[in-house]
Amino acid sequence: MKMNKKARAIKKNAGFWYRFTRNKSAIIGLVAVSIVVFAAVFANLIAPSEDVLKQDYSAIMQPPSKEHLFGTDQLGRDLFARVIYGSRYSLVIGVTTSLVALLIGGTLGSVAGYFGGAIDNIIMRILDVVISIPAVLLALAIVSALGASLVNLMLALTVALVPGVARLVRSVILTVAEEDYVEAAKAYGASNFRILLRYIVPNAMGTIIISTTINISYMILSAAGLSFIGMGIQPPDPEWGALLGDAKNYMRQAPHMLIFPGLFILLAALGFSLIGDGLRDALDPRLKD
Amino acid sequence: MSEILLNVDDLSIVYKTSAGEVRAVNNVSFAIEKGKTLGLVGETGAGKTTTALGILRLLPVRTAEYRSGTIEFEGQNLLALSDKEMYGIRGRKISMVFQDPMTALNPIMTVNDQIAEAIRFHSDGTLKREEVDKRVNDILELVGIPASRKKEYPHQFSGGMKQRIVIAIALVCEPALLIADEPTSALDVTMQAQVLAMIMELKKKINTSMLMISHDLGVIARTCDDVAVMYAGEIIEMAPTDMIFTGNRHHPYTVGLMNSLPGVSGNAKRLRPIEGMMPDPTDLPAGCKFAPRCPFCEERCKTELPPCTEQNGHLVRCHRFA
Repeated sequence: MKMNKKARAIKKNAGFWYRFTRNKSAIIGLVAVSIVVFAAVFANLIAPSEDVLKQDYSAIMQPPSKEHLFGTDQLGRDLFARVIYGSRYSLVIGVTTSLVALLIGGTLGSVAGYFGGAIDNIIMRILDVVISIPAVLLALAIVSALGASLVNLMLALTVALVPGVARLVRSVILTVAEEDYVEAAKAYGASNFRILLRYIVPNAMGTIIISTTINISYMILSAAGLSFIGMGIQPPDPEWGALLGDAKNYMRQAPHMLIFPGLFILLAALGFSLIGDGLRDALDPRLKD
Repeated sequence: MSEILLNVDDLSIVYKTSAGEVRAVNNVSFAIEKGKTLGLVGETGAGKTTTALGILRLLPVRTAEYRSGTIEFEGQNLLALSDKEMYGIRGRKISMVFQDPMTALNPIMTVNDQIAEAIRFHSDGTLKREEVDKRVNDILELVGIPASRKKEYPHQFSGGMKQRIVIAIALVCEPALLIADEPTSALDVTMQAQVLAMIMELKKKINTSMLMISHDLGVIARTCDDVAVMYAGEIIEMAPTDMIFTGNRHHPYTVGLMNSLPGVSGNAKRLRPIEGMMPDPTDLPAGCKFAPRCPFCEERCKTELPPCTEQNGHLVRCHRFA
């Protein structure tokens, strides 16, 4: 059957989108992430920013009401505003650390995978040393050495994430580098750098995007975890993990203080992870119809 | 005698593996004149592709090693060039067409971009966009692909068309030498004929020499001026094409190859395959490599490497003609 060019192009793109949207859990993930992203971007339109820190001792630990949608905390601050503004922290941390780790780990991994030999050995053995320390423990150590702050938290999480990313990228690169079209490109006179940039990395991108999406969810969880134990964002800043850390002392009197930040952590982490799964299914050529 | 373009002399290549040294190419010598085509025939594993990749210096760096010999191309020894100098040779002076068009194209780049890349590799960024565009259109027309389809991706083309694109990329810089590594083996017969005819026509048009690698004697007979028969990493017979297919002074292996071909003429004979397998390249026989399978094998064949003897430009490496 003959199709004109436009129809072909549409069919190709539709193939991916069709497979992605047919996957119910991917759609749930997309919706969940959209909610969190919307909250982060339009936080100042959804809730006034002064509500985040404004204390009201006449209304502490109020359950959810019309005035305070998510109730108030132990200092009478509006929990709705705090959770909404908290999404900014989580998103920034999750996305930034994953992307920076991808940049560093991806570069190290592709160089190691493509050139192999001594370079490969040197890079991978150094990363092995880093990977031999459990990621959370490593992040904890870095934060306690440098002090707890947003930047240090992101630094610690990135360092902990880089070796895993580098390993993944290296293995994908190794597979793609075996392909005939890479050999062919060499025969046409392409330089190593060009081949890596134009042939290998783009062809490895699918797997890398999927893993980065899932990493974002992992980083959001880790950031919340570290903040929960007081090693990340410090109160009164409204990071979700820090909110939980505050709330755990009052969970009998005011369970809503735990539920709402917890719900949003779930929303963000689950959302990115479902999208990652959906992408993997949609991009996997073996599942193509 | 016209000018010699490529002169491979005494080339030996080994692969170092955990199982020992694989002697893939052993003391191979041949020459290709300007505008001529040399066919390289042999079974799978005879060292044909290794020879081809060896000329382009594309063998895996960590395992392959040149043991001896020189590869002289346009007067310079390719083995003595730096990696950087080789970039200027590959694609511009020597190009290669790969066996399987299904995998030889980058699946996520449009055909236009892939051909344009090959042009840009060798233009030092001096060509203008319109010029690159024009050359892409020209070469697509030459290989018979409508220029209107150049913005499409490889998976949107059929196998035969993909091979045309691969050939377009290989020829777009008008190389002096084209190495075609089984260019039609992955295609069906009707496509084979078309693609072969096209290669030959283009070759004439841009006056390039060719090294045609194939296990298909039919392909070789139609396209080559000279034929070299390879066995276990050695060239065991080399002659102008018509001499390979006629006369009676042949290496027993070449005779075996011919007898393995099914004929379609009326007096069809029973096929006579060559008994046995190629020797293990990590443990080659001391004498003639073909001795274990040869019907004429004598005592000295097992211990003594037969010399190359020549008669009217017909080289045979066999004790029977020594």
